[in-house]
Amino acid sequence: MSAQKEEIEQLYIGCHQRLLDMARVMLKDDDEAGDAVSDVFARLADGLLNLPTDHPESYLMAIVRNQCIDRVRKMTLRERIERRLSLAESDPTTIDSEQERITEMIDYAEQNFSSKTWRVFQLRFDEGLLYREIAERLGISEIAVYKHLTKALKELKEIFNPTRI
Amino acid sequence: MKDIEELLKMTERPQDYSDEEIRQMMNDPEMRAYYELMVDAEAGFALKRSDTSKVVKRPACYTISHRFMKAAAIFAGILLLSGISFAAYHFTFGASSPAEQGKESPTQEVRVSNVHQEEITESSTIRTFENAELHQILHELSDFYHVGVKFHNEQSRHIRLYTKWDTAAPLKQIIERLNGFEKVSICLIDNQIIAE
Repeated sequence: MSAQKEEIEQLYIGCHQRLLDMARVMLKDDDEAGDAVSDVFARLADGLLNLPTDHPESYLMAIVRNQCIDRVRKMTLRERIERRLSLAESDPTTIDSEQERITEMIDYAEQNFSSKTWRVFQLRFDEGLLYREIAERLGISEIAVYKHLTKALKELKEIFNPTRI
Repeated sequence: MKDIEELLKMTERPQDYSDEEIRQMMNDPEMRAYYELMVDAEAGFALKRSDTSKVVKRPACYTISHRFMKAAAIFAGILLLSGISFAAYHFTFGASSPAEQGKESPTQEVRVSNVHQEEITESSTIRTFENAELHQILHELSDFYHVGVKFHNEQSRHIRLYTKWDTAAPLKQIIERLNGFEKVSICLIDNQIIAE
């Protein structure tokens, strides 16, 4: 096995999962995320990408990130809404600070929302339950679910008003 | 300004809306800002989930007696993990050795697999969690017993367990049983389940 192939294999073992996780967050589709990461490794194996000697993992992260951004750009408005993807143009240079902001937002929600509002918020945005399912799970009405979510979003907007719109 | 409730409905069932209705909704700056917040919320949870480097510490409220597992345990099970991570876990059914009891638990790295799918089955009184994450289990308990849940350590949310829950048992007893798992450290304080 050539030295380069060995390096690619080591990179695959070392950072494939991390790349896949990032692509999943960006594309909200497991299959497409897998495709995006596989494409990058295929291009690498075909010699179409030149790995830098310093920080090859960071390089791969950037390539996969750009690949995901390109895929999202090609989606229609409806496709983005269906996957609940951002409508804003992604700026690769601000993704790290964006990630920090949104994880802070979740921490804020957990610490400051009432336990019921936090639970509704979590069931919807973490576990992806339908409003009806949340209502059934918590023994409340669907209207109450909307009220909790509306309250949560208003509070978050006041504090973490998205800048990417 | 359009209604947030309408936006919530649209994001759940976009198929019920025409392209024009979606476009109009998203042209409203307020609605668009709320939509972006929803996107951020999902991404925020996903980011926290994707952090697979788990460091779990034992909390102050943990006592060694909690590590016993009895045959008639309300909670009983094993940690289900795959690959390399499986070897990182072991489960203690009996009492720990005196030497082990006397020493501080070291910080341990735990890699959590996301290969398995969680499955929750329900019978009249026994609920089975298969490869469920700790936060899911604790929130089920929280909903059922009407108490809060707080995680002091983000990584402990994602510890995966196979376990059974008898819904007729008191919460304190269940917490004691859950603490029988090697990596689980929780306690009940002021109607709140605290997980370290």
